[in-house]
Amino acid sequence: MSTSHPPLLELSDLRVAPVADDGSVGKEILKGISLTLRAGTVHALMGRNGSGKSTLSAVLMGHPKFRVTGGSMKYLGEDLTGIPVHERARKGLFLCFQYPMALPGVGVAQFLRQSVKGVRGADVPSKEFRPLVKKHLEALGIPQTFMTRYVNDGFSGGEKKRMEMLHMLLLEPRLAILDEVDSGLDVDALKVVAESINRLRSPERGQLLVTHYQRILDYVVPDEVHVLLDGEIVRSGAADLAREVESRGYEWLAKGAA
Amino acid sequence: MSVSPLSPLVSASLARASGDPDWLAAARAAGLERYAKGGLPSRAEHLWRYTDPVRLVPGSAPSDPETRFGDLPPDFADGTFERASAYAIARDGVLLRAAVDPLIAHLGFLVEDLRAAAASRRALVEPRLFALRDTCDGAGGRFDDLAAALFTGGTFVHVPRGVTLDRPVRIAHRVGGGFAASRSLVVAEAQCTATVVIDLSSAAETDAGTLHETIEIHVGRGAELRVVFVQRLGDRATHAPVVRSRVERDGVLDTVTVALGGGLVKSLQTVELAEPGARANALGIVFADGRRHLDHHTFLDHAAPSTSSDLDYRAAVAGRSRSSFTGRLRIPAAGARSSAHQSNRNLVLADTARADAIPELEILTNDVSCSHAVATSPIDEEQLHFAMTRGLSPADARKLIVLGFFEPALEKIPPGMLADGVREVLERKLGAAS
Repeated sequence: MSTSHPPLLELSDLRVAPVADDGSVGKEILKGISLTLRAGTVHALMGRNGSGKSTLSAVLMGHPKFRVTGGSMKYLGEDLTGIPVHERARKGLFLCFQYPMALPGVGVAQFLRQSVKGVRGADVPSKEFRPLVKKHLEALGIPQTFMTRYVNDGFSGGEKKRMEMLHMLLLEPRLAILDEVDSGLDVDALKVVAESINRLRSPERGQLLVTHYQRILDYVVPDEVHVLLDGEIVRSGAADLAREVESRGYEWLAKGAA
Repeated sequence: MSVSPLSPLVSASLARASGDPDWLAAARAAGLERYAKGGLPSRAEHLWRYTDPVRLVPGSAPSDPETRFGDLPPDFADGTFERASAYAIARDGVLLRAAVDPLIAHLGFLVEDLRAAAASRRALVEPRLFALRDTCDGAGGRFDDLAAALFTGGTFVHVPRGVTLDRPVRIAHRVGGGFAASRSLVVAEAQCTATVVIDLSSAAETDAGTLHETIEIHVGRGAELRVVFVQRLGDRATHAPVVRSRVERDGVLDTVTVALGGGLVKSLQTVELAEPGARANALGIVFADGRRHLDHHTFLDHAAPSTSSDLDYRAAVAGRSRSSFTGRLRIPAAGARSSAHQSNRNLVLADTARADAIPELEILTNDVSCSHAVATSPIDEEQLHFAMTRGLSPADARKLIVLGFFEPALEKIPPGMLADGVREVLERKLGAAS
């Protein structure tokens, strides 16, 4: 893709603070993040707990508990701030949740169908929807009975992640943000998740993998790796940076460390 | 407190009784006497904390019932019995017609006018009719007595011993703008299995009628009965239903109560688990919008050992509406080794709406397994957000979550009957309320 197109995601000096229930804005969690993710690439954002990784995922998708206090976040050249959550989804953004919500009483099939309808802006005929779902269920190793259960209600950790992958594959997002998608997964489940992400890769799409560990990056090889520490990106590099973090930990990247 | 003029009620009661067998006429007179003597309940009584009983007193004798039903509900497949074992329609408390699937008529199950049955099938009706008045402390008995004196008609459903009805008995009841009193009797004899689905609607959305309705349900030994009530009255209607049930040894009663309409609803459901092994599952969903006032009261009495109950009532309130739910549970010493679970959850969809939940537990033995839960909250913001991140508009996300909240009750409604209609009504109301 030509570089004259705007990047999928462009963060410049992005600052984000939490908003309390009473509306008061707290101390900045993200303290000026800049990052450019172009179509056709996978970026990994690594960091230990509390570094601000999940805050970035949340704010990109418009979670009401966070506010952009400075800088900008642009998706295909358009500032995302102020765009309603569902409009972001319709524009091609997808957030794979670390802890997806259970929706008791809401059937998986119904939810997926309404979601696809919402994102496409038109109803999906059953004869198109069913085979599409079936294909993905098989690839993910999910039994058909999954579709009649309630969304994430009583799901195991592995089932929740498979549900998120199923949803992602159905929506085919332009930009997928995967928040700690590898946490708590055994190797088999990890491979299923990694295959799903790889299947989505294309010259038009991009993925941002937010992770604590390097493990998943053995299966989904990133084009760029960023290390987030205390709300700032302290180092960016190629895939080998992830392996270096894995062997050396995060401390050597901290400010003032030699 | 004085009761409004009795004389028109007395003459109405006498007039009704003129067509009835002596034993029924005597029961009517006794009901009227008790009503006149007892007066109205005091608002200090816990049952009447949320609803002024004066609002339920009929200003006149029951109006003459309409003899035309109007359009049939869409799930009445005229002429075929694919989905139902029997269809019946009632207007202002009076059964207009009933039809039983001819292919299974030989099983001997009955769907008939109760007053006709009182005359022609006395041995089946007399021992059961009014027999549950004094169960569960006679809770709410005074309006029950009035309805006993005045009832214009009702439905008698009888499922003989050992009979399994694979399709439900479907009854549609419609009321107009006047005052109607109805009484129905459902008898599930030992070892039978049946489902009865009843919906109640207003003839016109603007009808401001009042319906006093009593339904008595007898579940025999080892019988399994499910009863589904769907109330979708107009905004101005007043509804005072009293549903009394008694379950014998190893019998199971499943009730699904759906209340979507009515301007003022004061509902009482009692279940006496009368013999060991009796079980009751009670699901209820209430959607209140506009200025509706819906007051539901349940009373589960574990009168015998090793009985079990599971009650789950859910309400969503919008607009300036008000819902109150009082769940009384009693396990006397005689109810040892029983298990009872009660849950009442309320979703508050507008700051101007209100939901009250009052659990009343009266447990007089330690040898029980018992739990109860009460929660009142707005829609979970994280659930809403999650649904919106998947492309659902805020309004659609809200609808999805509220419908999901109600789904456990809706999925218990037999397929092809009312559930989709209820979902549509809920979606429309939610669309208007958001």
